[in-house]
Amino acid sequence: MKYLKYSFIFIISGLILLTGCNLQEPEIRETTLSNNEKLLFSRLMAVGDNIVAGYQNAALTEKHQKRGFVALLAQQGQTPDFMQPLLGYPGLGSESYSGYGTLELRYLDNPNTPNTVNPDPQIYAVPFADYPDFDPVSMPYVSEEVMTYPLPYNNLGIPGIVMEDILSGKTKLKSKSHSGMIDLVLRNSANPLGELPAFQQAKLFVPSLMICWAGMYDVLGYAQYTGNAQIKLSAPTSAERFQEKYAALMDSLLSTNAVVVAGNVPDILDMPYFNLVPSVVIDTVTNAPYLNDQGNPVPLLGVEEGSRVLFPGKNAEKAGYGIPEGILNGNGQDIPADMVLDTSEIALVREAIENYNAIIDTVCSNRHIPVVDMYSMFKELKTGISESGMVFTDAYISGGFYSLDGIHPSDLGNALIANEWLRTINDSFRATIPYVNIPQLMSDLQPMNTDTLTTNQ
Amino acid sequence: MLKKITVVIFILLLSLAQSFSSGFAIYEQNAKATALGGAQIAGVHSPSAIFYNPAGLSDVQGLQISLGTTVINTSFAFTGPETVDPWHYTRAQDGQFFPSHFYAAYSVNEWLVAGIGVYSPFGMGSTWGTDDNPWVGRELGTNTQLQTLFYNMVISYRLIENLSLAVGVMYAQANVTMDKSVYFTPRNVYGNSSLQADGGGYGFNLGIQFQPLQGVRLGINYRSNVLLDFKDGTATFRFPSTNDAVIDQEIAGYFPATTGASSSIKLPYVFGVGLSYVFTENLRAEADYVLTAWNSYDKLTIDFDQPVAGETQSEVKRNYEDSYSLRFGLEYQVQPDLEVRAGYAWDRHAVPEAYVEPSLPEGDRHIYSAGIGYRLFGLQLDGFYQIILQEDRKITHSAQNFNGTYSGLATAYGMSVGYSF
Repeated sequence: MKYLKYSFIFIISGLILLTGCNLQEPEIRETTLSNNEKLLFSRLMAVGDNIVAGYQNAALTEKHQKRGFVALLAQQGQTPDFMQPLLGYPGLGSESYSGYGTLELRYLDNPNTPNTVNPDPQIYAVPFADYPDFDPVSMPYVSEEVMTYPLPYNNLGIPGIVMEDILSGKTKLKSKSHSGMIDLVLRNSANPLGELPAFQQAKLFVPSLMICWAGMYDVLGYAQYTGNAQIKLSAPTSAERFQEKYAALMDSLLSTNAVVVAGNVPDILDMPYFNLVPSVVIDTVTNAPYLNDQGNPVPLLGVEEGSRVLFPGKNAEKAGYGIPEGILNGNGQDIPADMVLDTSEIALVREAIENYNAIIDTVCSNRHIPVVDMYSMFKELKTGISESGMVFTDAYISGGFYSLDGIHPSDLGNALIANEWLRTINDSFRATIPYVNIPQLMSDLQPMNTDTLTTNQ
Repeated sequence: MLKKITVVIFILLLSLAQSFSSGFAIYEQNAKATALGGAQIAGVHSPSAIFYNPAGLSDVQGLQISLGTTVINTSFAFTGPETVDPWHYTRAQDGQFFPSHFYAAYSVNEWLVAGIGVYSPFGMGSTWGTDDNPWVGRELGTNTQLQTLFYNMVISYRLIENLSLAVGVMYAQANVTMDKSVYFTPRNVYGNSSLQADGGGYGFNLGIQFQPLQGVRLGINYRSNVLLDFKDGTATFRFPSTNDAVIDQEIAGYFPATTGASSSIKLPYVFGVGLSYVFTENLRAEADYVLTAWNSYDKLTIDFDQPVAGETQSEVKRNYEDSYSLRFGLEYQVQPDLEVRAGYAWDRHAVPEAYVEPSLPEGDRHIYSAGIGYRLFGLQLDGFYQIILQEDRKITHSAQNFNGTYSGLATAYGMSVGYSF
């Protein structure tokens, strides 16, 4: 009996020792793609507007096209020979008519105004003149190889086009939007098969997966300030026309037999572009609201209650517009009307976005096309999107999501978008495509690392 | 008799296995007690009572001292986060900790015993990734270390033959290091933030031991909150040179190279009750319930002397919850100078799911221990071996969207040496 007691205790302690004193390590330490997943991404094609194209910092240029969300999707899905219409530096964009390419951040806080309460970032557009090797007119591509690539580009996203141009826009002139970018992406002037719109080019490629995120420019083209450079849409695309064309577009995309994934339209009014400039006079010394003798802020001229001053309004204000005479450098003239979105215009924009998203939902669900909810994701930026300890918000520059133009996402913003698309793709097709490793990308984007940054192309 | 106990213990284990760790408390403060699963509130009658239940000092005769150390080896791993790759596996650097203890007690007279103890009832350490090979959760934490040392003076008074009461005062010293990466978003640059601080605080402890019947002992132990005040700490921010003078200057403007920092942490109070029972003259068992009131740790607020990224305060929610452990110990006297011991404890997590983060990857723990005690030349030698199995903790609603699975395992062994003068 006594020995029984000993043995009980020793057996127990022996068992405890045997249960393993080492943490068991898993055999699988990262997700790898299955053959089916590789097949799904093997012939990836994307159509759409600005963000699809990789437009960022008011221009299209290789530096950011390589990190656009479609390129990231191709990277994660290991799409072979993924090709985009890569443009050289400083690229082409909204400032190109005046001889400038992409925007860069010179100073986070302008050193010439040292007494600012709020930082006054100094952003500049890179002049073509500084890059004599870049030919914006006849050869803006990064290389001959890109320009003469014998197949359609995998990414047929075209900045500045309305949704129906995907179906029918062939050249700048033969399109609804007349975007100058159409010719760069579609290259129809030299196409031996004739003039083919984006959809036809995609179809010709026999895609396995079609990414379609369109409709944002149908309203952005109306709401944004375009100056003399681009044609401003006189109104957002009407709901009726959007309905008709979107259904036709989805039917056409499905006719390629590809897996189609669509995205809806974000609320553009949340973007910094529409929120950065307050509707009161800003003191040039403090970069905070100017206060009159009574201690009250002074409303900008030409800006009614509830109106939004667009981002370019900031420059007009600096030139004295919107500021009553006698205050600062005020010239007593209104902020130019096309730099202000008044309440009725705001309502029109809201209505258009609501209509488009309702149409996208209905059209896609009828056709069993998964929709990536970009509207909700962009809304989530208001409270912040947490990602491994980092919080991305819609704050200009410091929020991490938007690029310097205040509309288009930054490299990191594109990575968040790519992951959202991957989530929908994974959920809809029971796939497990790995997500973009954002902490790793954040490391790769460091200024001292960007020279060595490699992509899968 | 033994069979009955075995059955009872197993039923207890089974009924509990489904349900419950406990913040960064360390309950291993004596080799004998640890071998018994820490279940000593009722039965303790050696100088280690200063920690487990100071009323247990009343049984001390003359001058007794006890000295020992524990070696804790920890392994932690994280699989995820899901936003990167649900299968991405990161193993933390293995940790090794040496919480040590010293106790001395002296019986002033038949009724009064005074004691002094030095021990480390709280501590933690975790290191994830290296400078050259940073890990995916670098912005949440890379290196976190907390060490405490408590100095505890108690007096125990035997009120009546079978009832003792004790009261003590504690002074706690603590030292904390918290390192993580920070990101300068406007320019996409990673830097390191390191916070180092020393602090201290006071508390008290109380104990009761009562023997209602021959062979049955009851104990109650209470250790108060200690507000650790970390003043005069230092926060250091290091960024690599970007080879761009403008950017480097901007960073320097947002992150001071070094600035004073202060914080405070309110350590939980601990309340425990225990019941010990002598089955035969050789066999004794005890069961304890120990509540650790971790809800004292609801947030970590750090005040900086100079603004960091425009803010003079950083606040991280912790929202710990009260946790408790159930502890069982069994001791058998083989020979007059040899005892064998076994123990089991189940320790409920203190960190709610949403707030589990890499600096403290805790979860419910099953703690198995065994040990022996031997008397040699007047020395009391106690040794134990312990294995701490942490249930894998799958986080699906992390407040920082850092979802994945934490797994952990620790082993500990240690020894205490006691001497009666």
